[in-house]
Amino acid sequence: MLWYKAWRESRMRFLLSAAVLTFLCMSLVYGARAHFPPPERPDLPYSAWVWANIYGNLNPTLFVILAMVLGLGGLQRERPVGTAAFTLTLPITRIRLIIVRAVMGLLQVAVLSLVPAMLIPTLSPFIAGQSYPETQSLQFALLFMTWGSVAFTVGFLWSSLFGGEFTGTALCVITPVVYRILVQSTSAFQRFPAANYANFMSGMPYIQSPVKVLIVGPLPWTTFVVLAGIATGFIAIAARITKYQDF
Amino acid sequence: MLLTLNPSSGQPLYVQLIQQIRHAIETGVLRPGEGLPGIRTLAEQLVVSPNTVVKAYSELEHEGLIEVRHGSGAYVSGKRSNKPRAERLRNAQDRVRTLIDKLQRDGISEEEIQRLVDAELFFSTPAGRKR
Amino acid sequence: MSNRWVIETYDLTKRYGKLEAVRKLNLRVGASRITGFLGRNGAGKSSTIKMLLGISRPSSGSGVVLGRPMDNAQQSRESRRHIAYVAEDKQTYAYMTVGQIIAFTRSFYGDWDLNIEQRLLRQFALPFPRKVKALSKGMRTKLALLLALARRPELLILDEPSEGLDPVSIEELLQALITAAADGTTVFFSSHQIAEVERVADHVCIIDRGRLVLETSLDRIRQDYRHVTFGFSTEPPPVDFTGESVASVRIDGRQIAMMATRNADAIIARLQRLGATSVEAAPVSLREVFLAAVKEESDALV
Repeated sequence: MLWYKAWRESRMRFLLSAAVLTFLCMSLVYGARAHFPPPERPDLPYSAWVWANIYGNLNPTLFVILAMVLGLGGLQRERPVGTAAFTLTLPITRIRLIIVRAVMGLLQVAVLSLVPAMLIPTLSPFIAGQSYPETQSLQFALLFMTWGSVAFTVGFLWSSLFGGEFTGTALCVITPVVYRILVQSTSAFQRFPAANYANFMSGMPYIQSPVKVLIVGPLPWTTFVVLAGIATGFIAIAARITKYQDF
Repeated sequence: MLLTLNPSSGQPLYVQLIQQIRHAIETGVLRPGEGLPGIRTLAEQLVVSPNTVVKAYSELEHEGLIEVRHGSGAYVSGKRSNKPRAERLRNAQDRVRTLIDKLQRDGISEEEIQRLVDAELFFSTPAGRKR
Repeated sequence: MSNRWVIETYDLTKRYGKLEAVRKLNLRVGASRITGFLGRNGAGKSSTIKMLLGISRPSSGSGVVLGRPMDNAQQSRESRRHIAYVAEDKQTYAYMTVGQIIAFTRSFYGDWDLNIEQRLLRQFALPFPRKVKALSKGMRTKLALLLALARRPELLILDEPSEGLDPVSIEELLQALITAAADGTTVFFSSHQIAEVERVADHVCIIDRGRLVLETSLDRIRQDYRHVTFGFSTEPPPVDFTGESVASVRIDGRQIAMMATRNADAIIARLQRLGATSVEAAPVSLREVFLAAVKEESDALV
């Protein structure tokens, strides 16, 4: 029943994140019903509208922060609460605890990244009278899912070091911002467009048509693998740290 | 079975238990064939370690006073007759009462009498003391 | 009573920065017994227990629990299948209900006994649908005991189990320990409540400043330890007690008082030959043994 424990302990954050994303999607479609196309841009394509409100601008940063917060918790969090001893004296290895929590979190990130894909293509025709291709939202979902997983595992790594709720959350807000500044100011990072998460998740390198803002290019499967590798690496580091900690 | 154990007296608890059960058997409070509480039940009732009860029952069984049967508990042995010992004890009690009255009339206080008795018991044989 | 050791430590040491909480501890806890673990605050009891359970790692030294080395993750996990632990604050997941935490814990142990679970649920009157965070400390203790005992563990370790409990709850706790011991579980519990330990324990280990200062059975204390006070009608002669099993000798005027740990009668005979005119002997309580043990790390106490 470790899966149940992992679910219960992350449930609130997951549901809140899902609610935030749902709210964004609903605002979009209802907003579109009310005033799309906007009077000052009558020939704005719906796909551009969707991009601006869901996949572009600050939304990648928002998603990264939510994913990172999802990574918090774990044994260091149980320490001040007083249940670390109970969890650690169960006949399980620490590795198993890590793996269950990590997999649960990654599944949650995947589901969150699919929220727009589930809502926008299905609701747009009924509510906004517009259509949006499912394939587009699935591709964006994949971009969000992969970088989002890296963000989750960074939060997971922080959680193996810091147990305070405030410290953890603060780190999850500061880290993406600091990272973004670092990437934009360091020339070394310029060689890897995927290193800039906002760039990557909003699909900039793969968008051929600036007007319609639709993903056209082939998806960067190698980059996906690299990102998955980085995420796994962070989990492995967190596992190693936890293995040698005293509680 | 009503028993009182004193954890801070100078006697191991199992010794106190043996003495009290033995006394009960010899004064007829426990009759031959009557059942004693099982080890677990008695330990839980007295809130003492089961090892204490095990040791006591084991020694009593060795002395032939009780029989421990697996599964059905412990029983007072039907083997010995209790009367002579009970009578001896009643006589001894009378003699102690007489001595105490005499000492008190001589002006010796209760605490002093207690101390004299304890000191005398210490000077008696070590073997007798360890029982 | 078997002669097996369920816990053995070899020069076990734990350092927190510069502070040595546990210093070359050589602990031995025998099987099928109730052993009390006494020590002052900060003496190293909790640190020791955490190392035994694999919650923290020794700085040096080693230990064996239920025949398996305690600093190996896999072996420690194996041992924990047969060990039950009740922590001092008895906390479990606040967001789960009593029913859920029982189901949760049950899922990890193949030897869980549903009959015992049902019996303890009734005996402790634990409210199934209530959340753990709404339980009083007494109820949390009972819940922790249920989770520990419903599987007949080989070893039950408790850290200050009666902390924060009212006398009725303490009595119920002690009875639960006795029931566990009657089922063959070895019980090892740390406590400040010397009176409780004196009632239920077979053996006692006293730790002070990270070291084991005394390990003995309570029967031995009751049988062999004695306070003896000698009175002399003249100035008492100088007596050399080295080599004797004697601790805390005090001389005041024409009296000599001491705690003998063995052969009190031989010491009494000796001092009588030296001219003692009065002798008073009294049993020694566990509290007095403890206080003497932690005041001076005397070899004579062993």
